[in-house]
Amino acid sequence: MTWWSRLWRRNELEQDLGRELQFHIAERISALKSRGLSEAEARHRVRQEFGGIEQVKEECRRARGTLWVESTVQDVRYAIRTLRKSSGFALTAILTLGLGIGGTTAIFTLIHAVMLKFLPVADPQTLIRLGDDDNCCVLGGYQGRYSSFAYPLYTSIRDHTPEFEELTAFQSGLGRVSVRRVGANTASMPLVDQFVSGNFFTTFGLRPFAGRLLSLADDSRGALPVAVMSFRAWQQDYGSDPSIVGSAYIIDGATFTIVGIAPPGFFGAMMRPDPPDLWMPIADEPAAHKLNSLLDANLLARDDEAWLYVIGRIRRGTDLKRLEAKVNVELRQWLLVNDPPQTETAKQELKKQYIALVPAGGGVALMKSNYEHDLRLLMAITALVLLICCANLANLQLARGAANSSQISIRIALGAPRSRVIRHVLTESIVIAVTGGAAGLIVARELATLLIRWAFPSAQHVR
Amino acid sequence: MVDLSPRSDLPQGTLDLLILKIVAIQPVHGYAIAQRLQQISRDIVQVPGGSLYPALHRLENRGLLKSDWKETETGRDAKFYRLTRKGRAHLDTQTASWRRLAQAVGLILNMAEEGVR
Repeated sequence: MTWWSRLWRRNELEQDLGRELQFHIAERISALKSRGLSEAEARHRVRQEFGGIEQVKEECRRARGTLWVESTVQDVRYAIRTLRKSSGFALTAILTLGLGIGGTTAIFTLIHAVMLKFLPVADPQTLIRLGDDDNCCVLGGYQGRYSSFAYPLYTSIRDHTPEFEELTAFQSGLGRVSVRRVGANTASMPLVDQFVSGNFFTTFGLRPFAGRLLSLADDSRGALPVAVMSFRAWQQDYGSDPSIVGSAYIIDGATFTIVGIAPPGFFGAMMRPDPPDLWMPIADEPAAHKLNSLLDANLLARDDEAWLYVIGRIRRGTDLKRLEAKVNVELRQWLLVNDPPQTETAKQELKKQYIALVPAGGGVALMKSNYEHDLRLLMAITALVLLICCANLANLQLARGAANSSQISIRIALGAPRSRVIRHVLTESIVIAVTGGAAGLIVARELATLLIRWAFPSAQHVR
Repeated sequence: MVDLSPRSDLPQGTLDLLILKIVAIQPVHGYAIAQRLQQISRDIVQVPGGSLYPALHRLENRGLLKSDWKETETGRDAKFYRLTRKGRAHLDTQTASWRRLAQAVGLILNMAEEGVR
């Protein structure tokens, strides 16, 4: 019989064991009786010879090799029974653990998502951002510390810096625009759109979930206007409708054909509560914004206004310091040609214009700088709460231990081995810990969602 | 009457050997094993149930013995043990090594007596 079947057929084996020992005792009694002893005398004698029948059984069970499993099961069952009896203690302990673990986990989940996680893209370590500020939207004139770029400045740096395998630019200030399917009689959907350079998805090394992603050819004047939809919008706002790929949509006032769905988990290159749902090539921007175009010079704006963030993928082994120096030379040269300083002060200013290169594995981390301090504080507080929870629980356990000491003495007096008593107490703790941990998981899930909703009330889509 | 519990007085592993030997003759139940050990050893070896049954179960788990429930001559159901092929091989090697050891111990004790004389 294998170890498993011995464990499995435990009840049968237990019965057999009882019957076997009973048989031995009965035979011995009748043998003694035939020698002239009375029934009572014979029984007494056998009991002396044989020793405690329960001890013998326990020895036999030990020989079976499955005793530790059986006694563990017994311990767990017994622990659950006693905990149910003292349900006040059990509930307090499990809730304390659950809240402590759950709270800390929820906060850590948030911190992980905001501060520690890389973008879900290929090789995030080689992504470098030009600029470390979160100047947003549309800027004119000298910025001092550059993080927002005009399209001509971006192309100039892109074309003159071969150290970047790819250099992509994307709109910094995002808003909701109404999106409607051409020809369909459905309500329009308020979605977040973002204009990006044609190599946006290639820079991040992404593959489409469906259809295709944007290409350089899409990002040229006269090309058919196309857009890529985020997996989230496709799934949640359009019910994973497969007919979307290839359909025409009116986005931001212009007609675009949706050519593909971005991979799940990709929320754009910026960490923001409201990630973009649609990506369109920069070349199509004038068609959408018409007179308000950021790309083309018009009545309201010049074409050297900065409205793009830039992230590039550097070749492995590139010296970041040298690259930074080079990019800064390019910046000043470009400014000298395209935005020449008119006065002596402006000339001095020009020399101070600066681009810092920073790792962008986590994307453009606007949320990081905004919330970092608060989140750290929150983490410290929850860690303290967990500590207090543990102290509380230890206290409770201690009180319980003191109350149980007479119980334990009785058990030892009845012949329970010390190891078994200790194991039993430990099992009880483990049962509490496991249940508390499970409660913690549930609390963590709920709390994380709640925290995100509460911290970013503008976010409509919480994952 | 000397009570020989195998833990103290029977050398380690000897009880297993004796049980295998008894079972090798014919399938037999636990009570009979104890009786026979006592009879054959002329009351010197008395195995209490507390040692016999754990030993039987251990041997069964090691695959040296097998057991079935059968009726005895008195009409009661009892668990009969019999030797497996593996048990037979084990018995042979153990018997040989026990004999060698006993002989060696005997030689040494004899020589020691001669030395004293």
